[in-house]
Amino acid sequence: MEYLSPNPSISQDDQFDILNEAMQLGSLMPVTYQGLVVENTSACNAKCRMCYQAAGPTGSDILGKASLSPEQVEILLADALHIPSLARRFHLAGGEAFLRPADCFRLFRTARSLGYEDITTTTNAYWAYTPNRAAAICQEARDAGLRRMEISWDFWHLDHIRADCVSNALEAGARFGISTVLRILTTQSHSIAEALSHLRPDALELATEIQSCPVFPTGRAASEIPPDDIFYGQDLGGNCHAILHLTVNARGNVYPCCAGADQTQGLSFGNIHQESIRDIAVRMNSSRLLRTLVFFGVGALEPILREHGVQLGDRFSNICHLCWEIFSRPERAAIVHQFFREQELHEAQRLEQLLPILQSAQES
Amino acid sequence: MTRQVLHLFRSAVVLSDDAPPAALLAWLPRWDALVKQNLGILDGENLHALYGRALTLLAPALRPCAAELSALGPLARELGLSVAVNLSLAEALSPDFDTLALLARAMVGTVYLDARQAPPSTPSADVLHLVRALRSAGVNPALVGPVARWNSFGLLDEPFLNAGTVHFAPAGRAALSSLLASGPSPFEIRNSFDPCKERLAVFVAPDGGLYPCHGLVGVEPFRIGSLDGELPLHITPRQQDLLSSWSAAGPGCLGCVEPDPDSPLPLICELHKAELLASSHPTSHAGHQTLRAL
Repeated sequence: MEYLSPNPSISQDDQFDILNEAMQLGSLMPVTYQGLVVENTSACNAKCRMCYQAAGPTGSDILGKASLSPEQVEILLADALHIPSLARRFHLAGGEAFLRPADCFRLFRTARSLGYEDITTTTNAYWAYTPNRAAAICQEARDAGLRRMEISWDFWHLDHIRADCVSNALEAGARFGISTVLRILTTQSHSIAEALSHLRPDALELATEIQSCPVFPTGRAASEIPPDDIFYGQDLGGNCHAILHLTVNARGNVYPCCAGADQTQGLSFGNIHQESIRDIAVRMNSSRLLRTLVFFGVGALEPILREHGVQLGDRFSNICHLCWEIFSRPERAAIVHQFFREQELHEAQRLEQLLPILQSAQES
Repeated sequence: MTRQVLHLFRSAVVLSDDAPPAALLAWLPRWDALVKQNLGILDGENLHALYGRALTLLAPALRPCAAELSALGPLARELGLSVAVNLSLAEALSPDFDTLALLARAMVGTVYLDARQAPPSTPSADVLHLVRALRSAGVNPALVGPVARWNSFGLLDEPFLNAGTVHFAPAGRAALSSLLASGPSPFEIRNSFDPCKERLAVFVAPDGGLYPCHGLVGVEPFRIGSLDGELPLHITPRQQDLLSSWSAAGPGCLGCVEPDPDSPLPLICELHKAELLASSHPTSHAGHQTLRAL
């Protein structure tokens, strides 16, 4: 995407064309979201060492103790339906959202009644301490409209969650028609095989899907997982525009994803306690920073930071880790925000100069 | 056809008993142009509708499909669709089949690598080599079959696998049957809400017929066209209403059906299909209603 510049060799007609294109781009190629993710609490009964949210029983080490009430989430659900580039998927997460199962059921029912077509959740399955308890929760969740449950499981969960709970949840999910996705995290010394070895083999075969990916050192993992245990990636040139989820964290801050940036202050675009998510989404769609980030990739921000003396290095797990490294540090986030503010100001000034020409052209 | 319904048919799944129909090569660009034209993509609208489109080939064996796939794959990629195939582990490891070369020629991005029929004597070293080679070639292997089977090859401890994103589909239909047979309570879903959106695509049957979902392949009232037929697809307004409704909430039918351990369909599709077939029987009042509605 060409930034408009006061280059005298670009004719006014061309400048006009570029501006026009830039203004239309937001509607032609909107920032699209695969769904709405709501993290309704920062609290979790577990305190896993690799947790990107650094969640725990007294809240998050990053966000503190925070939560959204069911009423607040219901308003959010209704409001978000008016965002045209948001797919009709609602994903409820925490911390651990099922610390209050009744609230979860209520929100699933609300989402379904409002017309959300895909209703999913993430949980550590602590609540499935017996097969009967697992069945009761899954039946009520299914009745309320839950269709898919992502169950977090790995070596670090073992300290806090009984493996039998996960096995019970997998069986109950299969019995009551809830698709289950077992989410595993790995490091150099903790493998998929190790994580799965603790689960009942028959229950494991009932999982609809098992997904594994490496831990990336964000949140608590940044300090608790030895750096040499991390798998570092080679390709940091990718972008993320096709896999975004509009995310609201437990403080009400709004983000384009839930892969780590949702725990930073630097990539928040607003707060639902102060304005509607609709308005925040409109602002996000026209944000030069966000559009550069998601369409060109986080790597596009590296030259901006380098020009200001920030060397990022090359030891990152993936683009999400790199994004978190930038936006979790206020000084780095400030550099990036200032750069794009200047770009947008310059664009606005050029538009002001060209507006009379535009109007004159339209009148003739 | 409304945009909402056409949006459901952005991807295509080809079901093939042997080699895919030759007519596919001519049909694919016509269908793609229809989708792009009607979604406004050629006018610069709904560009995000180009995300996540795929051409998937499901066949008992890949070797008979080699020639057609070698032509279809690059064509699909040129049109903006990713290419996915299913492949049994036994065939992939067959010494006289150059799996990697075919996948490269066909520009396949995802392989559903199926271990369910792999003989007990399958050498672990060969499996590790294959999966590593697929990853190195930029092909994403989704591992289908019992996790225990994959683990028996020593795969789940391998650093190269643990260093990236991996997907397993245990496909434990037999395990589910066993669970339901042994449990104290019958299989029971009290509400039928189960959106079909993720499961809808243009399904191309072996005879060239076109259907809107896997479960409806072969169900004549739901045939919406053929490879040799004209485009746009002939979907009646009533069918469009049904498909829109199913996309958002599912067909709205339930049943206590013994799951077929060999069925490739998701369990919920088996339930829906049983109900739809039962309702389309001429002696059933509900069937008359369904047929008339179509």
